[in-house]
Amino acid sequence: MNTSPAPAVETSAIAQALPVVRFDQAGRGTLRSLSFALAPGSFHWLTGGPGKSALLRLMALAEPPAQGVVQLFGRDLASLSRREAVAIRGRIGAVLAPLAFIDHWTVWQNAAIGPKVSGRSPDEFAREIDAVLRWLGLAKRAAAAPGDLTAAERFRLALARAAAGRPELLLIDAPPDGLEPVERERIVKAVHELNAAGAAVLMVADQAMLGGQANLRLHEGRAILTEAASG
Amino acid sequence: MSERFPPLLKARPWSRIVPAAALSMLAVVAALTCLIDLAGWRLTRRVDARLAGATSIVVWTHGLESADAAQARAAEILIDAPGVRSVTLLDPRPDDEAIAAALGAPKATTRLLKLSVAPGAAPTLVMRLAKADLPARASTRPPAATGGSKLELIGLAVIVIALALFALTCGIEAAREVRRGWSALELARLGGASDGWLTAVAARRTAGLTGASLLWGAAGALVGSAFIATAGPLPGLGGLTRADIISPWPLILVALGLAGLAAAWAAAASAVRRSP
Repeated sequence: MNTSPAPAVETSAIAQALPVVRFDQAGRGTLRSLSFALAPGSFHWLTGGPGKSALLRLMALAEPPAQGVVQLFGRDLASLSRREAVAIRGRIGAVLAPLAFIDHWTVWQNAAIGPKVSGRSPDEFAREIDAVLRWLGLAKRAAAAPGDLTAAERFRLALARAAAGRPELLLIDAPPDGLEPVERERIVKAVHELNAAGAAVLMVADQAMLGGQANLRLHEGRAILTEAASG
Repeated sequence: MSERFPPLLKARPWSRIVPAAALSMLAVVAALTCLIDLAGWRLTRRVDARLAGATSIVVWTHGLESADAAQARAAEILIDAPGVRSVTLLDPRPDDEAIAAALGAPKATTRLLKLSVAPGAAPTLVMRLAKADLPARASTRPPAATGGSKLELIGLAVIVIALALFALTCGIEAAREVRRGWSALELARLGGASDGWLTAVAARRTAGLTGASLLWGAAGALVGSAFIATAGPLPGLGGLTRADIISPWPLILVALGLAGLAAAWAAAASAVRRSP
Protein backbone atom coordinates (compact mmCIF):
# COMPACT_ATOMS: atom_id res chain seq x y z
CA MET A 1 0.00 0.00 0.00
CA ASN A 2 1.21 3.45 -0.72
CA THR A 3 -0.28 5.43 2.13
CA SER A 4 0.30 2.93 4.81
CA PRO A 5 -2.34 3.01 7.54
CA ALA A 6 -0.96 -0.14 9.00
CA PRO A 7 0.62 0.30 12.36
CA ALA A 8 4.22 0.29 13.21
CA VAL A 9 3.53 -2.54 15.61
CA GLU A 10 5.39 -2.20 18.85
CA THR A 11 5.89 -5.65 20.23
CA SER A 12 7.76 -6.14 23.44
CA ALA A 13 10.36 -8.85 23.88
CA ILE A 14 7.85 -10.89 25.82
CA ALA A 15 5.17 -10.51 23.18
CA GLN A 16 7.62 -11.55 20.48
CA ALA A 17 8.53 -14.65 22.41
CA LEU A 18 4.94 -15.65 23.10
CA PRO A 19 2.37 -16.69 20.52
CA VAL A 20 -0.32 -14.07 19.91
CA VAL A 21 -2.89 -16.83 20.23
CA ARG A 22 -2.66 -20.13 22.04
CA PHE A 23 -5.51 -22.60 22.40
CA ASP A 24 -5.06 -25.51 24.78
CA GLN A 25 -7.90 -28.02 24.77
CA ALA A 26 -10.25 -25.05 24.34
CA GLY A 27 -13.64 -24.96 22.69
CA ARG A 28 -17.24 -23.95 22.63
CA GLY A 29 -20.25 -25.48 20.92
CA THR A 30 -19.15 -27.44 17.88
CA LEU A 31 -15.51 -26.65 18.56
CA ARG A 32 -13.95 -29.31 20.74
CA SER A 33 -10.56 -29.27 22.39
CA LEU A 34 -8.73 -27.01 19.98
CA SER A 35 -4.98 -26.83 20.53
CA PHE A 36 -2.77 -24.60 18.44
CA ALA A 37 -0.65 -21.47 18.65
CA LEU A 38 -0.10 -18.62 16.21
CA ALA A 39 3.15 -16.69 16.23
CA PRO A 40 3.39 -12.90 16.12
CA GLY A 41 3.44 -11.58 12.56
CA SER A 42 2.38 -14.94 11.10
CA PHE A 43 -0.22 -15.46 8.39
CA HIS A 44 -2.59 -18.41 8.55
CA TRP A 45 -5.45 -19.43 6.38
CA LEU A 46 -8.32 -21.00 8.27
CA THR A 47 -10.15 -23.77 6.44
CA GLY A 48 -12.33 -26.78 7.08
CA GLY A 49 -15.28 -26.45 9.34
CA PRO A 50 -17.85 -26.01 10.49
CA GLY A 51 -16.91 -23.65 13.29
CA LYS A 52 -14.57 -21.24 11.54
CA SER A 53 -16.69 -18.19 12.31
CA ALA A 54 -17.23 -19.42 15.86
CA LEU A 55 -13.48 -19.77 16.29
CA LEU A 56 -12.94 -16.21 15.11
CA ARG A 57 -15.58 -14.97 17.56
CA LEU A 58 -13.79 -16.80 20.38
CA MET A 59 -10.49 -15.23 19.42
CA ALA A 60 -12.04 -11.76 19.06
CA LEU A 61 -13.40 -12.05 22.63
CA ALA A 62 -16.93 -11.76 21.29
CA GLU A 63 -17.73 -14.93 23.23
CA PRO A 64 -15.91 -16.72 26.03
CA PRO A 65 -14.59 -20.27 25.63
CA ALA A 66 -16.67 -22.92 27.39
CA GLN A 67 -13.68 -25.12 28.16
CA GLY A 68 -9.91 -25.27 28.07
CA VAL A 69 -7.36 -22.49 28.07
CA VAL A 70 -7.21 -19.62 25.58
CA GLN A 71 -4.33 -17.19 25.72
CA LEU A 72 -4.12 -13.96 23.78
CA PHE A 73 -0.84 -12.02 23.82
CA GLY A 74 0.31 -14.29 26.63
CA ARG A 75 -2.71 -13.59 28.85
CA ASP A 76 -5.11 -16.30 29.92
CA LEU A 77 -8.65 -15.15 29.10
CA ALA A 78 -10.03 -16.83 32.21
CA SER A 79 -7.94 -14.57 34.44
CA LEU A 80 -8.65 -11.34 32.56
CA SER A 81 -10.62 -8.60 34.26
CA ARG A 82 -13.15 -6.81 32.09
CA ARG A 83 -10.83 -3.81 31.92
CA GLU A 84 -7.98 -6.01 30.75
CA ALA A 85 -10.27 -7.63 28.18
CA VAL A 86 -10.98 -4.16 26.78
CA ALA A 87 -7.24 -3.59 26.39
CA ILE A 88 -6.83 -6.96 24.65
CA ARG A 89 -9.73 -6.21 22.27
CA GLY A 90 -8.01 -2.96 21.34
CA ARG A 91 -5.09 -5.03 19.99
CA ILE A 92 -7.32 -7.17 17.79
CA GLY A 93 -8.98 -6.25 14.50
CA ALA A 94 -11.85 -8.47 13.46
CA VAL A 95 -13.93 -8.86 10.33
CA LEU A 96 -16.65 -11.19 11.55
CA ALA A 97 -19.49 -12.71 9.57
CA PRO A 98 -22.17 -11.68 9.05
CA LEU A 99 -20.79 -8.23 8.38
CA ALA A 100 -22.43 -5.70 10.64
CA PHE A 101 -22.31 -1.93 10.50
CA ILE A 102 -23.96 0.99 12.22
CA ASP A 103 -26.42 1.75 9.48
CA HIS A 104 -27.11 5.36 10.44
CA TRP A 105 -23.40 6.21 10.45
CA THR A 106 -21.46 7.01 7.31
CA VAL A 107 -18.72 4.83 5.86
CA TRP A 108 -16.12 7.17 7.38
CA GLN A 109 -17.72 7.02 10.81
CA ASN A 110 -18.01 3.23 10.68
CA ALA A 111 -14.34 2.92 9.78
CA ALA A 112 -13.48 5.18 12.73
CA ILE A 113 -15.43 3.36 15.42
CA GLY A 114 -12.31 1.86 17.05
CA PRO A 115 -10.47 5.15 17.61
CA LYS A 116 -13.77 6.83 18.46
CA VAL A 117 -14.72 4.45 21.28
CA SER A 118 -11.18 4.46 22.64
CA GLY A 119 -11.77 8.10 23.57
CA ARG A 120 -9.54 9.79 20.99
CA SER A 121 -10.59 13.09 19.46
CA PRO A 122 -11.78 12.89 15.83
CA ASP A 123 -9.18 15.52 14.99
CA GLU A 124 -6.48 13.08 16.09
CA PHE A 125 -7.56 10.11 14.00
CA ALA A 126 -9.20 11.82 11.02
CA ARG A 127 -6.11 11.61 8.84
CA GLU A 128 -5.57 7.95 9.71
CA ILE A 129 -9.14 7.09 8.71
CA ASP A 130 -8.85 9.11 5.52
CA ALA A 131 -5.68 7.18 4.68
CA VAL A 132 -7.23 3.78 5.41
CA LEU A 133 -10.26 4.55 3.26
CA ARG A 134 -8.03 5.81 0.43
CA TRP A 135 -5.92 2.69 0.65
CA LEU A 136 -8.97 0.44 0.39
CA GLY A 137 -10.59 2.46 -2.39
CA LEU A 138 -13.41 3.84 -0.26
CA ALA A 139 -12.44 7.51 -0.07
CA LYS A 140 -15.11 8.56 -2.55
CA ARG A 141 -17.70 6.59 -0.61
CA ALA A 142 -16.77 8.10 2.76
CA ALA A 143 -20.03 10.00 3.13
CA ALA A 144 -22.22 7.15 1.94
CA ALA A 145 -24.26 4.88 4.18
CA PRO A 146 -23.02 1.29 4.53
CA GLY A 147 -26.28 0.09 3.04
CA ASP A 148 -25.45 1.85 -0.22
CA LEU A 149 -22.20 -0.07 -0.72
CA THR A 150 -21.66 -3.13 -2.87
CA ALA A 151 -20.81 -6.43 -1.21
CA ALA A 152 -17.14 -5.98 -2.01
CA GLU A 153 -17.14 -2.43 -0.67
CA ARG A 154 -18.83 -3.55 2.52
CA PHE A 155 -16.14 -6.15 3.06
CA ARG A 156 -13.45 -3.57 2.44
CA LEU A 157 -15.18 -1.25 4.89
CA ALA A 158 -15.13 -3.97 7.53
CA LEU A 159 -11.44 -4.45 6.78
CA ALA A 160 -10.86 -0.70 7.07
CA ARG A 161 -12.60 -0.69 10.44
CA ALA A 162 -10.42 -3.57 11.65
CA ALA A 163 -7.23 -1.99 10.31
CA ALA A 164 -7.98 1.46 11.75
CA GLY A 165 -7.53 0.14 15.26
CA ARG A 166 -3.84 -0.60 14.55
CA PRO A 167 -4.27 -4.28 15.44
CA GLU A 168 -1.55 -6.74 16.29
CA LEU A 169 -3.86 -9.62 15.41
CA LEU A 170 -6.27 -9.59 12.48
CA LEU A 171 -9.12 -12.10 12.37
CA ILE A 172 -10.91 -12.11 9.05
CA ASP A 173 -13.88 -14.16 8.00
CA ALA A 174 -14.31 -15.23 4.39
CA PRO A 175 -15.36 -12.63 1.82
CA PRO A 176 -18.95 -13.14 0.67
CA ASP A 177 -19.69 -15.56 -2.14
CA GLY A 178 -20.08 -14.14 -5.61
CA LEU A 179 -17.29 -11.58 -5.45
CA GLU A 180 -15.39 -10.95 -8.66
CA PRO A 181 -11.94 -12.59 -8.63
CA VAL A 182 -10.37 -9.18 -8.94
CA GLU A 183 -12.17 -8.06 -5.79
CA ARG A 184 -11.02 -11.16 -3.91
CA GLU A 185 -7.47 -10.54 -5.02
CA ARG A 186 -7.69 -6.95 -3.90
CA ILE A 187 -8.89 -8.00 -0.45
CA VAL A 188 -6.23 -10.70 -0.07
CA LYS A 189 -3.56 -8.26 -1.22
CA ALA A 190 -4.68 -5.74 1.38
CA VAL A 191 -4.62 -8.38 4.10
CA HIS A 192 -1.11 -9.43 3.07
CA GLU A 193 -0.03 -5.80 3.28
CA LEU A 194 -1.37 -5.56 6.80
CA ASN A 195 0.48 -8.76 7.66
CA ALA A 196 3.65 -7.37 6.13
CA ALA A 197 3.26 -4.33 8.37
CA GLY A 198 3.48 -6.61 11.40
CA ALA A 199 -0.01 -7.87 12.22
CA ALA A 200 -0.54 -11.60 12.72
CA VAL A 201 -3.39 -12.72 10.45
CA LEU A 202 -5.86 -15.56 10.60
CA MET A 203 -8.21 -15.47 7.62
CA VAL A 204 -10.94 -17.84 6.62
CA ALA A 205 -10.28 -18.94 3.07
CA ASP A 206 -11.85 -20.97 0.33
CA GLN A 207 -9.93 -23.16 -2.08
CA ALA A 208 -9.79 -20.39 -4.68
CA MET A 209 -7.72 -18.31 -2.30
CA LEU A 210 -5.50 -21.12 -1.10
CA GLY A 211 -4.49 -22.85 -4.20
CA GLY A 212 -4.75 -26.10 -2.28
CA GLN A 213 -2.69 -25.06 0.71
CA ALA A 214 -4.11 -24.77 4.22
CA ASN A 215 -2.50 -23.69 7.44
CA LEU A 216 -5.06 -24.09 10.17
CA ARG A 217 -7.79 -26.59 9.36
CA LEU A 218 -10.81 -27.37 11.47
CA HIS A 219 -11.84 -30.99 11.24
CA GLU A 220 -14.68 -32.46 13.27
CA GLY A 221 -14.36 -29.71 15.83
CA ARG A 222 -10.59 -30.09 16.20
CA ALA A 223 -7.80 -27.92 14.84
CA ILE A 224 -5.02 -29.20 12.63
CA LEU A 225 -2.16 -26.80 12.15
CA THR A 226 -0.66 -28.21 8.98
CA GLU A 227 1.72 -25.51 7.98
CA ALA A 228 2.45 -21.99 9.17
CA ALA A 229 3.55 -19.62 6.50
CA SER A 230 5.85 -16.96 7.81
CA GLY A 231 4.63 -13.43 7.77
CA MET B 1 -12.51 14.46 6.73
CA SER B 2 -13.51 14.91 10.34
CA GLU B 3 -17.05 15.02 11.52
CA ARG B 4 -19.33 14.73 14.46
CA PHE B 5 -20.59 11.28 15.28
CA PRO B 6 -24.33 10.71 15.62
CA PRO B 7 -25.50 8.72 18.64
CA LEU B 8 -24.45 5.08 18.44
CA LEU B 9 -27.97 3.82 19.05
CA LYS B 10 -30.51 4.64 16.41
CA ALA B 11 -33.51 6.70 17.49
CA ARG B 12 -36.68 4.62 17.63
CA PRO B 13 -39.26 7.02 19.08
CA TRP B 14 -42.24 4.75 18.48
CA SER B 15 -40.72 1.97 20.52
CA ARG B 16 -40.50 4.31 23.51
CA ILE B 17 -44.05 5.65 23.60
CA VAL B 18 -45.28 3.26 26.28
CA PRO B 19 -42.42 3.86 28.74
CA ALA B 20 -42.59 7.60 28.02
CA ALA B 21 -46.32 7.63 28.81
CA ALA B 22 -45.79 5.57 31.97
CA LEU B 23 -42.97 7.81 33.19
CA SER B 24 -44.93 10.99 32.44
CA MET B 25 -47.95 9.62 34.28
CA LEU B 26 -45.85 8.71 37.30
CA ALA B 27 -44.29 12.17 37.31
CA VAL B 28 -47.73 13.81 37.22
CA VAL B 29 -49.03 11.57 40.00
CA ALA B 30 -46.01 12.23 42.21
CA ALA B 31 -46.10 15.98 41.67
CA LEU B 32 -49.86 16.29 42.22
CA THR B 33 -49.72 14.07 45.28
CA CYS B 34 -47.03 16.32 46.64
CA LEU B 35 -49.30 19.33 46.13
CA ILE B 36 -52.33 17.67 47.69
CA ASP B 37 -50.23 16.42 50.57
CA LEU B 38 -48.94 19.91 51.16
CA ALA B 39 -52.46 21.31 51.20
CA GLY B 40 -53.51 18.60 53.66
CA TRP B 41 -50.55 19.33 55.85
CA ARG B 42 -51.45 23.03 55.87
CA LEU B 43 -55.03 22.20 56.86
CA THR B 44 -53.91 19.91 59.64
CA ARG B 45 -51.59 22.46 61.14
CA ARG B 46 -54.21 25.21 60.89
CA VAL B 47 -56.93 23.15 62.54
CA ASP B 48 -54.56 21.80 65.14
CA ALA B 49 -53.62 25.32 66.11
CA ARG B 50 -57.30 26.23 66.44
CA LEU B 51 -58.44 23.21 68.42
CA ALA B 52 -55.28 21.99 70.12
CA GLY B 53 -55.70 20.64 73.67
CA ALA B 54 -59.48 20.84 73.54
CA THR B 55 -62.53 18.73 73.01
CA SER B 56 -64.26 19.64 69.75
CA ILE B 57 -68.01 19.47 69.36
CA VAL B 58 -69.84 20.07 66.14
CA VAL B 59 -73.53 20.95 65.84
CA TRP B 60 -75.51 21.63 62.69
CA THR B 61 -78.72 23.01 61.25
CA HIS B 62 -81.54 20.93 62.66
CA GLY B 63 -85.21 21.32 61.85
CA LEU B 64 -86.05 25.00 61.97
CA GLU B 65 -83.08 25.79 64.17
CA SER B 66 -80.20 27.49 62.39
CA ALA B 67 -76.62 26.44 62.92
CA ASP B 68 -75.85 29.65 64.84
CA ALA B 69 -78.85 29.08 67.12
CA ALA B 70 -77.84 25.45 67.66
CA GLN B 71 -74.31 26.56 68.54
CA ALA B 72 -75.61 29.12 71.07
CA ARG B 73 -78.05 26.65 72.65
CA ALA B 74 -75.35 23.98 72.86
CA ALA B 75 -73.08 26.43 74.66
CA GLU B 76 -75.79 27.19 77.22
CA ILE B 77 -76.37 23.48 77.86
CA LEU B 78 -72.70 22.54 78.03
CA ILE B 79 -71.48 25.34 80.29
CA ASP B 80 -73.64 23.92 83.11
CA ALA B 81 -72.61 20.32 82.49
CA PRO B 82 -70.41 18.56 85.06
CA GLY B 83 -66.70 18.46 84.18
CA VAL B 84 -66.88 21.36 81.74
CA ARG B 85 -64.42 24.08 82.61
CA SER B 86 -64.90 26.37 79.62
CA VAL B 87 -66.80 26.61 76.32
CA THR B 88 -65.73 28.70 73.34
CA LEU B 89 -67.94 29.35 70.32
CA LEU B 90 -65.78 29.30 67.21
CA ASP B 91 -66.54 31.62 64.33
CA PRO B 92 -67.29 29.78 61.10
CA ARG B 93 -64.38 29.22 58.73
CA PRO B 94 -64.00 27.44 55.38
CA ASP B 95 -62.11 24.62 57.12
CA ASP B 96 -65.14 23.78 59.27
CA GLU B 97 -66.70 21.67 56.55
CA ALA B 98 -63.74 19.31 56.51
CA ILE B 99 -63.57 19.18 60.32
CA ALA B 100 -67.30 18.46 60.64
CA ALA B 101 -67.01 15.70 58.05
CA ALA B 102 -64.07 14.20 59.96
CA LEU B 103 -66.19 14.23 63.16
CA GLY B 104 -69.05 12.45 61.38
CA ALA B 105 -71.49 15.32 61.00
CA PRO B 106 -73.98 15.15 58.14
CA LYS B 107 -73.62 17.43 55.13
CA ALA B 108 -75.22 20.60 56.51
CA THR B 109 -74.28 24.03 57.78
CA THR B 110 -72.18 23.32 60.86
CA ARG B 111 -70.73 25.20 63.79
CA LEU B 112 -67.90 24.24 66.12
CA LEU B 113 -67.46 24.58 69.86
CA LYS B 114 -64.16 24.25 71.66
CA LEU B 115 -64.38 22.94 75.21
CA SER B 116 -62.08 22.37 78.09
CA VAL B 117 -63.46 19.32 79.88
CA ALA B 118 -62.48 16.57 82.28
CA PRO B 119 -61.04 13.43 80.65
CA GLY B 120 -63.72 11.03 79.32
CA ALA B 121 -66.54 13.54 79.54
CA ALA B 122 -67.08 14.01 75.81
CA PRO B 123 -69.56 11.12 75.19
CA THR B 124 -71.68 12.27 78.15
CA LEU B 125 -71.81 15.76 76.70
CA VAL B 126 -73.03 14.48 73.32
CA MET B 127 -75.77 12.48 75.07
CA ARG B 128 -76.72 15.55 77.10
CA LEU B 129 -77.12 17.55 73.88
CA ALA B 130 -79.13 14.74 72.25
CA LYS B 131 -81.56 14.77 75.20
CA ALA B 132 -82.08 18.46 74.44
CA ASP B 133 -82.88 17.52 70.82
CA LEU B 134 -79.56 18.90 69.66
CA PRO B 135 -77.66 16.37 67.52
CA ALA B 136 -73.88 16.69 67.85
CA ARG B 137 -70.60 14.86 67.46
CA ALA B 138 -67.50 15.19 69.61
CA SER B 139 -63.81 14.39 69.48
CA THR B 140 -61.15 14.69 72.13
CA ARG B 141 -58.46 15.01 69.46
CA PRO B 142 -58.26 17.75 66.92
CA PRO B 143 -60.18 16.04 64.09
CA ALA B 144 -57.84 17.24 61.44
CA ALA B 145 -54.96 15.55 63.21
CA THR B 146 -56.51 12.18 62.47
CA GLY B 147 -57.62 12.81 58.91
CA GLY B 148 -54.68 14.99 58.06
CA SER B 149 -52.11 12.51 59.32
CA LYS B 150 -53.71 9.75 57.29
CA LEU B 151 -53.72 11.96 54.23
CA GLU B 152 -50.07 12.81 54.75
CA LEU B 153 -49.12 9.16 55.16
CA ILE B 154 -51.08 8.07 52.11
CA GLY B 155 -49.58 10.90 50.10
CA LEU B 156 -46.09 10.01 51.25
CA ALA B 157 -46.68 6.38 50.34
CA VAL B 158 -47.95 7.35 46.88
CA ILE B 159 -44.88 9.50 46.29
CA VAL B 160 -42.51 6.75 47.43
CA ILE B 161 -44.30 4.17 45.26
CA ALA B 162 -44.26 6.53 42.27
CA LEU B 163 -40.55 7.11 42.86
CA ALA B 164 -39.86 3.37 42.99
CA LEU B 165 -41.95 2.67 39.88
CA PHE B 166 -40.29 5.55 38.04
CA ALA B 167 -36.82 4.21 38.85
CA LEU B 168 -37.91 0.66 37.94
CA THR B 169 -39.30 1.79 34.59
CA CYS B 170 -36.10 3.71 33.82
CA GLY B 171 -34.05 0.66 34.71
CA ILE B 172 -36.14 -1.66 32.54
CA GLU B 173 -35.94 0.79 29.65
CA ALA B 174 -32.16 1.08 29.96
CA ALA B 175 -31.80 -2.71 29.92
CA ARG B 176 -34.06 -2.81 26.85
CA GLU B 177 -31.85 -0.23 25.16
CA VAL B 178 -28.86 -2.50 25.68
CA ARG B 179 -30.73 -5.50 24.26
CA ARG B 180 -32.22 -3.58 21.31
CA GLY B 181 -28.96 -1.91 20.37
CA TRP B 182 -26.66 -4.84 21.10
CA SER B 183 -25.47 -5.26 17.51
CA ALA B 184 -24.18 -1.65 17.51
CA LEU B 185 -22.89 -1.93 21.06
CA GLU B 186 -21.05 -5.13 20.19
CA LEU B 187 -19.36 -3.41 17.27
CA ALA B 188 -18.21 -0.71 19.66
CA ARG B 189 -17.08 -3.32 22.16
CA LEU B 190 -15.07 -5.21 19.57
CA GLY B 191 -13.56 -1.86 18.64
CA GLY B 192 -12.26 -1.48 22.18
CA ALA B 193 -15.08 0.27 24.04
CA SER B 194 -15.07 -0.20 27.81
CA ASP B 195 -18.06 -1.36 29.84
CA GLY B 196 -18.42 2.17 31.19
CA TRP B 197 -18.53 3.63 27.68
CA LEU B 198 -21.22 1.16 26.58
CA THR B 199 -23.19 1.75 29.77
CA ALA B 200 -23.06 5.49 29.21
CA VAL B 201 -24.47 5.09 25.69
CA ALA B 202 -27.54 3.21 26.92
CA ALA B 203 -27.97 5.32 30.06
CA ARG B 204 -27.76 8.54 28.03
CA ARG B 205 -30.58 7.33 25.80
CA THR B 206 -32.72 6.60 28.85
CA ALA B 207 -31.79 9.97 30.35
CA GLY B 208 -33.29 11.67 27.31
CA LEU B 209 -36.51 9.75 27.80
CA THR B 210 -36.50 10.56 31.51
CA GLY B 211 -35.99 14.25 30.88
CA ALA B 212 -38.81 14.43 28.34
CA SER B 213 -41.12 12.56 30.70
CA LEU B 214 -40.33 14.93 33.55
CA LEU B 215 -41.19 17.90 31.34
CA TRP B 216 -44.52 16.28 30.52
CA GLY B 217 -44.95 15.58 34.21
CA ALA B 218 -44.27 19.22 35.05
CA ALA B 219 -46.83 20.36 32.50
CA GLY B 220 -49.41 17.93 33.86
CA ALA B 221 -48.74 18.99 37.44
CA LEU B 222 -49.16 22.66 36.55
CA VAL B 223 -52.51 22.01 34.91
CA GLY B 224 -53.61 19.78 37.77
CA SER B 225 -52.55 22.19 40.46
CA ALA B 226 -54.34 25.06 38.76
CA PHE B 227 -57.46 22.89 38.66
CA ILE B 228 -57.18 22.04 42.35
CA ALA B 229 -56.50 25.63 43.35
CA THR B 230 -59.35 27.16 41.36
CA ALA B 231 -62.08 24.55 40.92
CA GLY B 232 -61.48 23.09 44.36
CA PRO B 233 -62.37 19.44 43.76
CA LEU B 234 -61.09 18.64 47.23
CA PRO B 235 -63.19 20.93 49.50
CA GLY B 236 -61.71 21.90 52.80
CA LEU B 237 -58.12 21.29 51.83
CA GLY B 238 -57.65 24.99 52.25
CA GLY B 239 -56.63 25.61 48.69
CA LEU B 240 -53.18 26.18 47.36
CA THR B 241 -51.20 29.36 47.29
CA ARG B 242 -49.14 30.46 44.34
CA ALA B 243 -46.06 29.48 46.29
CA ASP B 244 -47.42 25.95 46.66
CA ILE B 245 -47.87 25.67 42.93
CA ILE B 246 -44.28 26.54 42.14
CA SER B 247 -42.28 25.39 45.14
CA PRO B 248 -42.56 21.79 46.32
CA TRP B 249 -43.22 19.57 43.34
CA PRO B 250 -40.14 20.50 41.29
CA LEU B 251 -38.14 18.91 44.08
CA ILE B 252 -40.13 15.73 43.62
CA LEU B 253 -39.41 15.84 39.88
CA VAL B 254 -35.72 16.31 40.60
CA ALA B 255 -35.84 13.32 42.94
CA LEU B 256 -37.61 11.29 40.25
CA GLY B 257 -35.00 12.30 37.70
CA LEU B 258 -32.09 11.37 39.96
CA ALA B 259 -33.66 8.05 40.92
CA GLY B 260 -34.42 7.31 37.27
CA LEU B 261 -30.89 8.10 36.12
CA ALA B 262 -29.34 6.04 38.89
CA ALA B 263 -31.58 3.08 38.08
CA ALA B 264 -30.92 3.45 34.33
CA TRP B 265 -27.17 3.47 34.87
CA ALA B 266 -27.30 0.46 37.20
CA ALA B 267 -29.53 -1.54 34.86
CA ALA B 268 -27.49 -0.68 31.76
CA ALA B 269 -24.25 -1.56 33.55
CA SER B 270 -25.74 -4.86 34.66
CA ALA B 271 -26.97 -5.66 31.14
CA VAL B 272 -23.56 -4.84 29.65
CA ARG B 273 -21.78 -6.96 32.25
CA ARG B 274 -24.11 -9.89 31.60
CA SER B 275 -23.11 -9.82 27.94
CA PRO B 276 -20.40 -12.29 26.89
